[in-house]
Amino acid sequence: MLNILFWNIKNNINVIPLLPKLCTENLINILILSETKGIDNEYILRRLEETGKTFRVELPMPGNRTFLFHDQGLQIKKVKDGKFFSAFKLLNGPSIILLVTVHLPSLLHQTESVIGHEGSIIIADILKLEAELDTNKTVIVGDFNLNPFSDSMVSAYGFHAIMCKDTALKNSRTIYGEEYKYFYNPMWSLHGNNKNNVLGTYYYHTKPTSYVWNMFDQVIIRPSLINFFYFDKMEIIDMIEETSILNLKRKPNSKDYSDHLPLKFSLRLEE
Amino acid sequence: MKDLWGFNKLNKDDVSGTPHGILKEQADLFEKKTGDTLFIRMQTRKLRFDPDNDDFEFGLATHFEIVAPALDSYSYTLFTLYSKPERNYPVALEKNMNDKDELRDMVWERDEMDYRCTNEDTFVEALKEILGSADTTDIIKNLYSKSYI
Repeated sequence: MLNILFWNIKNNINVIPLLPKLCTENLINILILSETKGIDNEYILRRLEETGKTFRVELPMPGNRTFLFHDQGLQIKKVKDGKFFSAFKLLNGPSIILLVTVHLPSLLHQTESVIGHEGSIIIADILKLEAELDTNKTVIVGDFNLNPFSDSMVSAYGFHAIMCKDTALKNSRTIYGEEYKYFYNPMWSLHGNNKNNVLGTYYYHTKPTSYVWNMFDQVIIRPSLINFFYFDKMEIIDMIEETSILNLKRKPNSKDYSDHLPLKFSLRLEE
Repeated sequence: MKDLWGFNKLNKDDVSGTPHGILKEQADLFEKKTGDTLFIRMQTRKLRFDPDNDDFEFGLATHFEIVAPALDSYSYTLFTLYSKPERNYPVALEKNMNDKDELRDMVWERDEMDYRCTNEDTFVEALKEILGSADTTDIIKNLYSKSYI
């Protein structure tokens, strides 16, 4: 099993000492961080030594908006950097998983439709990489700055990430003669789910129209990975060992940690 | 049947001065300068539009990518050229790495391209700024050194 965690740490160096505990407690193999401005990757790696495992950072480049740390040795290679994403290939038994990490620009002050272009460009790159790597096992994870129900998330012209497994398992649909492949978005089951401690990964309640809890941090998968995804292990983390990363109002403690909460999920690897 | 077309057989000279022709020339120069350790890949994609919600003027996006064959063909998109399928100009350029990124996390608009060029002169000037920048040189040296060792 491969345990993957994404966290937008809001450029807060005080988060770093928590990472070894977070990774140990959740048996994390792949840690993806965004907003690490001013924090040296070498420092993060040194702290990750406290896990007792050997982590490496996969080909960090100037301008990267996400960084991927992992304990998988040579099983993971970065294959591409775009403006808002990085792409990695994971050797998975006889096949390859394409793992795409994203941090899209914030739309708090912008309309959602503009992000559609970036989504469209990222998807075009992903289609090309899937063809090159001969895989349909693609995962996109990161801070989309969109909710699962946002137009650009759902639209065939955007990420085409839908809520219905059965429909997604049809793999694609045709619109005006052109085929659009689906992603399946498991985040719908966590957004607003009052059985959990938190209702999203990001709290924002300022504008007149407010969703209050947003699910900006998401993972979406190609339908071919549905049977390899542990839905019961997907989790928004609000405690790291004995430390709550929420404030007294039960919202993300942005002062001490980050305004985003970490998202964890697990994949079953092939033999 | 008589040839009714208004052009003769096309060759390399016919793209000279066009944005894509200029990029190709710079790609050739780059490959000579890096001793073929790195190369340039230009990939043009049609942008998918939502016809009901779109007023973006460009229909094509061309990524200008540095490829490192020794690093499992890893590629880094240096910038993206936005163009119209039917015309050479205007075009827009958007850098991959941007000083404004931090700001852009708060306010980001698709209209705010890094460069908008209406003719060859302004395009070459914009390109010179991107290709000649310290950031670009850093990236190239970084990839070159990792490929070389």
